[in-house]
Amino acid sequence: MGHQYQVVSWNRQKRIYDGVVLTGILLFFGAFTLLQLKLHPEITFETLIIRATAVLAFLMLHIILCIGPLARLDKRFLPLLYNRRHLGVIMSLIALTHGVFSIYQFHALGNVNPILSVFISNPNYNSIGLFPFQILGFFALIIILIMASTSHDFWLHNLSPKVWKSLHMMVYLAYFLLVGHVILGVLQMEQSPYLIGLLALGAGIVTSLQWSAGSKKRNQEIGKEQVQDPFVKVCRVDDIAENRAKTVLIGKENIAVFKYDQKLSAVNNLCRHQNGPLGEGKILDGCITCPWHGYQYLPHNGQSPPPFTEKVETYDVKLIDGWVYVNPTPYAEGTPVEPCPIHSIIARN
Amino acid sequence: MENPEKANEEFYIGWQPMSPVAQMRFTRKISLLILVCVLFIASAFVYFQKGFSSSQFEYGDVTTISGMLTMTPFPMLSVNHGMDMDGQAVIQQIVLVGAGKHGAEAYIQQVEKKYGGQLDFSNVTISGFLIYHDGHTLMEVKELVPANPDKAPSTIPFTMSGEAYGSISGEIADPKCFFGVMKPGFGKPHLSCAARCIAGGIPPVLKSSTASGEAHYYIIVDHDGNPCNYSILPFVGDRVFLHGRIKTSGDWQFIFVDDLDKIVRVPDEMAYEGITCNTIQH
Ligand code: HEM
Ligand code: FES
Repeated sequence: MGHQYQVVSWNRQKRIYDGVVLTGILLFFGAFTLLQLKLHPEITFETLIIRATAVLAFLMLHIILCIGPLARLDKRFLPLLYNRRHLGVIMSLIALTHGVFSIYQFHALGNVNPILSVFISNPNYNSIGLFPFQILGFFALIIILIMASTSHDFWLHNLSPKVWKSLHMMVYLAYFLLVGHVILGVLQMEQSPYLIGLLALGAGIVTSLQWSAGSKKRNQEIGKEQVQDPFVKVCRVDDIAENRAKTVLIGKENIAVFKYDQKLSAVNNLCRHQNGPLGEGKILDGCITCPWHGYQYLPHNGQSPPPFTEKVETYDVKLIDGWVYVNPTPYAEGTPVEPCPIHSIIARN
Repeated sequence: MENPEKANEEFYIGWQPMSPVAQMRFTRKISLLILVCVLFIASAFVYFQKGFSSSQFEYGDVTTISGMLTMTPFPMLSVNHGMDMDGQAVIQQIVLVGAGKHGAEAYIQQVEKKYGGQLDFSNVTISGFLIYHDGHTLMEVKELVPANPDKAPSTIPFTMSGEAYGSISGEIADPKCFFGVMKPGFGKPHLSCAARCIAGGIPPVLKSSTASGEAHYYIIVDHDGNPCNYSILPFVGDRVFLHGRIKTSGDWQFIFVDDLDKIVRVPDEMAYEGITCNTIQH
């Protein structure tokens, strides 16, 4: 399923996804505006826009950052991941509205260029209390816009998944900058313990989810005692469900061992699309199918079925007394490897 | 071990038109939960934020008003509202500002060029948008025309009186935003904007609150009564002590700062803002 960018794939599930996102946005703006007008009828239009877009974009960023680890921890969250890039692009547009309105309201129509004004109007760079918090938002917005404009698979392909992935890791930097933007900005003026509490709750949820998903990954690592040179013991063959895989991390090699049609095959666990966990996918119509966006690979050679061209590394697998062993030295991407048959062993057991 | 049939059913693929039923239920539940959270956050933010002031900016709502224009230290219009019960003239002083983050000076100079003469201390008619709060009025000038010179002056010229001397602590703000154009027009988020407005020629004010929460505003000028916008720029948005003579003109008070090189920031631990001494009374 490579080269998806050539096909404008807009299916029912994507439409539902975007519909839910849109509903959420309308609900937010509706509730925010109605309540502001009821509790604070003296609010100006600009402040209403600036605040509504700020809070919504920041909230959406929290949701975006939680989806990844949630899907890692519980596969039922995968549908949220599938169209996450739309969520990201919409969030970036809302954040841009906040940035543009803020710059217009606070910096335009003056005696210097508005963007320059963001940087020079408050020169207290060496103070924490008076720090010009706007620049933190400014750089976060730049990062968010770069990510949104390169989110298309076209860029993923042209930048190589590795560069693309590191580019998109900058979202954590953006998040960090924004926490500063909020703490040093509006929270210093509002000083409401409830708003501070909400921010702490948000940051707490994001960091703990990221941490637990990260530690789940670390737990897969294989201990040294399981090494049977050059093969490493993975698990009992019975521990792998039919058409599913077991993943292991041996040194730097992230490997998925699949069981299908009384055979075992091992491929690299990282999908060439966006490094999705192939080992959490499933064999469908004879192809390993990535759980994230459905890219497919043949288990015996790690190649996407034609006309697609994605390839992952393959590995030697063997079975001894019902134990699965894998050789962590990879073959080049797309190298055919004879699958290891299971039936004889099972018969012997 | 998983039932292979069931496992097949349960595997979600985004590019398929339908998602498995159990999965669909879960997704629906989660989506609803997220929507509830979204509503909660929207309400909680509005509920817990501080309110805004009742200041007013009548943007787009043109008022036309006549009076005497004075240019120093900042453009102001003195409007005669007739006599009060004691037979005293009721004079309102309106601080004039330009569009956006500019003072009114540049525009008035253009008008002076057009009519070929000084307008200081002359009668003019101004159309613009009123800005008012806490008993003080400003106007964003849209149009200014000199009044008929044959007509007798209708206002009492701008004078300052009631001199006092003292130290006042408070926050330096720009009155245009603070008195109504923006909400909130003070505090940390507003600091940069205030700096732009004051650099653009809008008269800076010191906003000083007493312990009981009553606010006083002082237009800041230098020792000789001239604008000092650039000297106080580094302190905009900050709480400072200003030391000097205090004079009144109509509804506005002015502070003539003794030494602009010796402005002191109020230490963080000092929560109380206010007038700390008020010595010489003439
Ligand atoms: C050019 C970039 C940005 C500028 C100049 C900027 C400026 C500001 C200003 C002036 C405020 C205070 C507004 C007020 O008092 O109501 C503010 C608040 C805030 N900003 Fe930004 N911002 C920028 C980017 C961002 C981005 C990218 C986000 C998040 C996605 C963000 C999130 C927030 C939040 C959550 C608040 C607090 C809520 C509020 O008071 O509106 N900002 N920002
Ligand atoms: S299909 Fe997108 S990461 Fe695998």
